[in-house]
Amino acid sequence: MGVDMAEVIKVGIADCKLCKKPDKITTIGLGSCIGVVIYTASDDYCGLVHIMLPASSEIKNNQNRCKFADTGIDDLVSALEKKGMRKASMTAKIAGGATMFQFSGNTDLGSIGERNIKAVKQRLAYHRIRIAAEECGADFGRTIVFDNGTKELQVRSTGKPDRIL
Amino acid sequence: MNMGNHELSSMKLDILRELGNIGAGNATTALSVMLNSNLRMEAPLVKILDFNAIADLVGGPDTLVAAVLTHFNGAIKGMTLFVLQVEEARNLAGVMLGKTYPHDYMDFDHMDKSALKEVGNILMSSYISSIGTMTNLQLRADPPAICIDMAGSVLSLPISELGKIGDQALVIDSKILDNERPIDGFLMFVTDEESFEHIFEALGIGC
Repeated sequence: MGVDMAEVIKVGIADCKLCKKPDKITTIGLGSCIGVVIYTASDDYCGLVHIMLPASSEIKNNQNRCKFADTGIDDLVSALEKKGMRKASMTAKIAGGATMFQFSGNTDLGSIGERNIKAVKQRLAYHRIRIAAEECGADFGRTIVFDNGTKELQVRSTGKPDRIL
Repeated sequence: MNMGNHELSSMKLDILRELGNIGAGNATTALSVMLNSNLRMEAPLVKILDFNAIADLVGGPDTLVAAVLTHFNGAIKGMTLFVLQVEEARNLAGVMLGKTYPHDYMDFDHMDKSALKEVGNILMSSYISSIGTMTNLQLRADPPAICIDMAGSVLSLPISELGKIGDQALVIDSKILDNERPIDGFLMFVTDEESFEHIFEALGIGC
């Protein structure tokens, strides 16, 4: 076999990138944030957005569109459409939205993960993009790697076996 | 503190650094009294960092860390975090509880976690109370919570809070020295724009 030329593209916090086969795409250390992968069965391109907050409309300083579930997913969908992909064929896999800190007192900050999950699902439904697999919620972090060749999403957490979605 | 759009003046940064200095100094004194040890603190570095650079302070987003987080409220609102690499957390819990852990110990039990929570609580409440004293503002700290996981995941909560106002964070990087051996960790102070204005106003500096 020749040299494996495939690279792993890293997506940072509040960041969005596309990836072309045979490269893989990853985001490291999702906590309350959500990693949304959008792909189709046949296209070479896929994309991943690392979403941090539920809604751009709730925030004044919302220029960084990748940060929010609504504008982040909108932009990822249109970037893929620009590559010639059809929205009707797009499918998503999502992971994240954990509640990392358990507070004894009453605070709504802990539920940001839950609000992110809801907002991501709503936005995908708005675009009529089906969620093929998900691992959301709970109280631990996740690193995800998507392989557009096999369409598998690998989910890694500390002290737990890896999962394949 | 809308750091996404305009930068903090160097004078304001100096003030924040000084607040960080005094707060962190008092915090180490409190900690060394509790641990009955010879703790010192290096002058903290106040840094304004991009989100993706914060986790690099402890070795990257997949580094295992222990973090203690406290919300505070009153005249100013926000949160403080005390973040340590997991090896340092193990050492610190060992000093607190008089135990020695195997070097690959990862199953922090309830006692280990409460010991670390207590260290974080002492550091952060004395930090918050110093800021309260200097600004003459009433501040109250909530009970802390602890999380041990990948740095990126652990930091997602404070980073999301900061994300509401910009793309950067003010980090007070404080190195604690235990008999000259550094305990590598940092304190992070997160507050909103309005609260920063209150701090500067209370100190007599117009915005």
